[in-house]
Amino acid sequence: MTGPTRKDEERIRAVLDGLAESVPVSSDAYRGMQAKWRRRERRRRHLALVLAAVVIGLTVIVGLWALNRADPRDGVILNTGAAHVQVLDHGFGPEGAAGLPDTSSPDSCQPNPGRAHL
Amino acid sequence: MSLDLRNVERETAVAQLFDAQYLQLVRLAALLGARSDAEDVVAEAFCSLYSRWNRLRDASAALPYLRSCVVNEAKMRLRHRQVVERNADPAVHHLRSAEAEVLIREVQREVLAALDALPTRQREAIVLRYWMDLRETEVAATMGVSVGTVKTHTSRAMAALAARLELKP
Repeated sequence: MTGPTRKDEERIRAVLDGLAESVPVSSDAYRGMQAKWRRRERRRRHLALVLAAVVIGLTVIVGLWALNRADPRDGVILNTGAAHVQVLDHGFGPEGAAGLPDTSSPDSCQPNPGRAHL
Repeated sequence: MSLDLRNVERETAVAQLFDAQYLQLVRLAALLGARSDAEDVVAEAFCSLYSRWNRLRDASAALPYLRSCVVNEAKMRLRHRQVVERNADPAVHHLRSAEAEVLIREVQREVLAALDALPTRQREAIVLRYWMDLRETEVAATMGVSVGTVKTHTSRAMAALAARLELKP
């Protein structure tokens, strides 16, 4: 197979130029194109807004459902109320007489070891 | 930078590119086979550029991006048209082809037939290399292939074209 000569290349180039020049081009293309890409941009933004709204809405619904479903004594968001009661039970119940902590030992001044589990 | 200012900057840059490159890109699309809808192909490319402007590496990447879009879109439409024509009524297809053929000169018709006979990739390589005068690296970037592949496509296409055009002097 022989490679293309420079003459072949020039010939192809000339014919391609001729073909290209015969392509018709409309004069008001820019206006139509600008309207098209602006319309698409607007649609894209609207779609993004709707998607964001849907995501936020779903998150709120799921959050409300989870809160509504949970036991009111359990802390769903902040683990304070019920957990604190548990600590107190753990700290005072079995160790101290009549539910009171034993203050005779120096360890009693330390934070309750039960809290370490929290 | 505020959103409005960025939008103005983008509009200006795209408008400048349009002024400078629209005609050449329409011709490129036509040479790649999207003759009747070459302007639609370029419109798609500009819309795509506009929506992805902020993701471009820099402003100089816009033209190669546009070229790639035109090449890909033209290829897609060409394939679609080939499928439609394969399934269409041959009489209607012949009529449309005849109408289109009247518009081009005899010499051009031969080359056009020779170009149409080339595989899509070879045609892209020839048009980008010899009509747009792009370097091989630019052709490779536009087509999304390696430089070696561009060289192979170009030399095969040139050999096929030269053989065919020499057979019909």
